[in-house]
Amino acid sequence: MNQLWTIYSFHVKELVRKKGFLYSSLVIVALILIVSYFSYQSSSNTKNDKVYVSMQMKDAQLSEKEMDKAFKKSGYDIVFTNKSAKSLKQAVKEKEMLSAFVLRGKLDDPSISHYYRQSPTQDVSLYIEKALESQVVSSTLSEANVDPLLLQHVDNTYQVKNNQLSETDKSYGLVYPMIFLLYIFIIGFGQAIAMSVVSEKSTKVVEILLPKINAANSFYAKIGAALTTGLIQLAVTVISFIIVRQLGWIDSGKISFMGMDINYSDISPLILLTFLLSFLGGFILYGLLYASLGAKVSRVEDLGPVLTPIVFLLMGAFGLGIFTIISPESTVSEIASYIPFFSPTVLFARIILNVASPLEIVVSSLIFVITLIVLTVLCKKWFLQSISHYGSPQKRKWIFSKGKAKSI
Amino acid sequence: MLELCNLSKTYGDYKAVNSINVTLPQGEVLGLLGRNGAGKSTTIKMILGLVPSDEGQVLWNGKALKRKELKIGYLPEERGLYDKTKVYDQLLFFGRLENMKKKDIQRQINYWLERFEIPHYKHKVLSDLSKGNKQKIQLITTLLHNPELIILDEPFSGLDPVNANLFSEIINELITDGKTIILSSHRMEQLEVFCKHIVMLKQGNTMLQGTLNDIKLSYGIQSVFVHCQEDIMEWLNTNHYKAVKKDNGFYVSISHDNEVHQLFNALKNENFTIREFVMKEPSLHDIFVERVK
Repeated sequence: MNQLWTIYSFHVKELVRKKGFLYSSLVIVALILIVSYFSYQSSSNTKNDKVYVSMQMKDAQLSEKEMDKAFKKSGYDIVFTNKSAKSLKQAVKEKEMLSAFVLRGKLDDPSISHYYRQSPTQDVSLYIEKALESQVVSSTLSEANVDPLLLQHVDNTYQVKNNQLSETDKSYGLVYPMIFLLYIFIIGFGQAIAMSVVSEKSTKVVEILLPKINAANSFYAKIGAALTTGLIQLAVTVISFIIVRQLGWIDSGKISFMGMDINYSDISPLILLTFLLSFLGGFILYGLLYASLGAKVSRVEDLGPVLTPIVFLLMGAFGLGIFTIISPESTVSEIASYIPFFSPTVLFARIILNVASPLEIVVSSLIFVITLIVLTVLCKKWFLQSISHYGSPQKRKWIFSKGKAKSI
Repeated sequence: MLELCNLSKTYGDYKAVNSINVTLPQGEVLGLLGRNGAGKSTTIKMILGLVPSDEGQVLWNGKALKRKELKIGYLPEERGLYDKTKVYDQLLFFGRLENMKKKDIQRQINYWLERFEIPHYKHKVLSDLSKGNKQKIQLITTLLHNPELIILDEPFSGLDPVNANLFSEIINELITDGKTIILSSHRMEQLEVFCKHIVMLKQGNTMLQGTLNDIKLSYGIQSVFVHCQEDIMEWLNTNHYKAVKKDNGFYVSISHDNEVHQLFNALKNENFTIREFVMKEPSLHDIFVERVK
């Protein structure tokens, strides 16, 4: 344990002291501050777009006050006017307003013109259509001397009451950023693990180290160091967000991640624990993969092509994780949750979305742990092999004679 | 006492080390000689436990050598240091891996940096140092934890004559301190100075083994250096002696020890004024070239 700690703390210091780490941390802080500030400035300076309505229809009724209130949230100011269609068209062209509506004729034979530059203000258009339709129905029925009580029935609207039986909806917003975080962490810091392994091989430090240490300790210390470095940068990111929130540059109510809202109250200790285990498991698994492939090559230059399959695997894990959020009960998700390279994202999503059965969790976790052990053994073996064989592994030539294969 | 008993290693069809047997008493120095690919590094790696042996075993004081029970200092042929790390940080790291206390490591670092006359490099990044100074840091890494068994693979590589002398001084101090040392080098004149025991390898096989004195004695006297006031070249040729003129004298080849006395008496009888008459033993270099070529 002492040895593991010594190697771990050495590598953490090495990574943190790198100029690249300092610069990237500063870039993160600067980006968050700059983007939040400009976003805040632009939102406070934003004026609602004006939509003009020229009401030249005598028997129809539209309320400027009600319409303005209804579209305030959509970012529109509704202004009623008596201006002519020609002058309104000109005003829209000259960007004095977003769009304009001109209502002419009678209620039973209306003429409604909508003027806009690029995209129509469709929601305002629908509002006007619906309001006029409703007035036409009311006036027709009242002209036909229909009982006022019957009219009330006609006005009734029907709404479906949604009753959700599982609490998955609230979790969608949580699963996505968590899977994204795992993906970003592994992509960002996994390569550092492989680089560290190869550089110890290429500089022959491995010959000094291995008589003193257990090779597995070396890998786990490197994975731990990469994870710590990532967590430090994550902490820097969180602190930057806290600062901009304190400055009032972002909304303090809730966090939104790619259109999905996250409420703090949704993050229960169980969700947090599941995430932590999946995150750690995923990082260790992919970290070991990076270390194993790092142990297979002798030079840093050879690392690139060797690591490409991991990137594909990782993209698969990310994609399947997202797919599981959309379709948690699909067969693909269920099968993927047993595959150790995908289970950190897929099983995690299925657990959070209350779809995974206890048996599935136990079996998947077991397969996952066995894979970790196998990878550790392989990694150790390849690392030790590298001491006796530098350079590319010996190529095997196969000779086929009399239908039998012989290896040389 | 270090014992290598029937130590063998095969890579595929290639026998890297073939049943090597060595006994090295504690506090003595063994010279491991051989051309590139002779099996020296594989033997060293088997002692360190870096490469498992196919057959045989490594014993320390009669028991199987366990890394945790014996402090070993190893200086590899190629530098094994972190290039982007400060000298102090990596020495501290390697010391910690040997379970040393921080205070002891710091004391040792200061001592060795002073001893190697490079205390000003303590907080420098290794890549800023010259090849010779990197070699010094590598040797400090080897000796930091005061090891009992020291394995030095090409310790003089990349050193200028002044630093080579400094390294020689330090190796002498280690021998005086009673350290058991295995020295592998191509520089025979330096091995000859330090090593009491010699093992010469060729393609994994032991070609020659024993104490340096015994080996040299078994080879006998091979030449004599003669410096006379007169020019004896013509006389040597007339009497069918093979001789080479060098260093104001002649190196005369002889086939057996008795010939030395015959030559001396003949020169005296001819009334040559003999200023220098030195019997020359074969050097380790001569023996190496003869046995492994």
